[in-house]
Amino acid sequence: MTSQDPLKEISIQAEDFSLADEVALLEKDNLTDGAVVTFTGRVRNNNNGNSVTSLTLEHYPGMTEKSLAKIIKQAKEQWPIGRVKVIHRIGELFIGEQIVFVGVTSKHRQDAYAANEFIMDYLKVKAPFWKKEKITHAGKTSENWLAAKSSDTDKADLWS
Amino acid sequence: MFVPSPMDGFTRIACLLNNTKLQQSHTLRENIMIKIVFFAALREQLACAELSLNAEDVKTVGDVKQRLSDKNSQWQQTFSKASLLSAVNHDMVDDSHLVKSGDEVAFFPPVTGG
Repeated sequence: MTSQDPLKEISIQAEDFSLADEVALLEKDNLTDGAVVTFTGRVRNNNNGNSVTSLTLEHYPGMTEKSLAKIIKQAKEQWPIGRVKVIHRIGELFIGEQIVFVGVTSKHRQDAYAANEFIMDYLKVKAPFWKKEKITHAGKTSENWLAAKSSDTDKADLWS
Repeated sequence: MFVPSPMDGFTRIACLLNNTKLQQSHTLRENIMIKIVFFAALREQLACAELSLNAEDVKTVGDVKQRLSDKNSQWQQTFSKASLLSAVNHDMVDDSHLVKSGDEVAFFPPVTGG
């Protein structure tokens, strides 16, 4: 049995998450799915040649959850997948910290791989989150909102 | 201090500078009003997180943008950007989308999560 409370498929949170705990939840009492594919995104220490000290994540309460639910629904319509979990953190996050988690289970690996990548690609261009980076350049600290990348839009468009 | 002019359609509810209480403030005080919210770089540029607009004679999202553009040249510049995204009641929409009293209209830059 792979049924799951849809409300528990999405979590927008300031707190960190545990990869091991999330995998355990995807697997618990789930005897039909042989594949578990997870993706974790982390804060890296560089962007466009600048040294990054932190990222601050903002979202649109209500709309973010709604758009993620829509993306998960689309993934389920496209692939025979079992359980899905999407976690996205908000607030200020430092180098090496986890930002985002996507976990998908399915009977066989191809569906979980594809659905996981689809969810991440759509999250990047459809879900209302915005990153502000704090960078240090020549000893000076500044803050900038990140610009959206056309490569992300191009990647998401490949699915349609 | 924000002093709304009776002509510009903005109500006595001035811009709120942060929207941390957004989830709790869905109820509008007047039933002929549209609630407008701004996010990220847009919120910072306008120094405004939220305001209310009189919905009379406003039919579409494009009309809302026009009304906001009329505020001053900085707002005019902001709302003429092609990359600006719009949402009504948490769904992404385009300028021709119809708005009605009680709607929550959001404007924000392209998203950069993940």
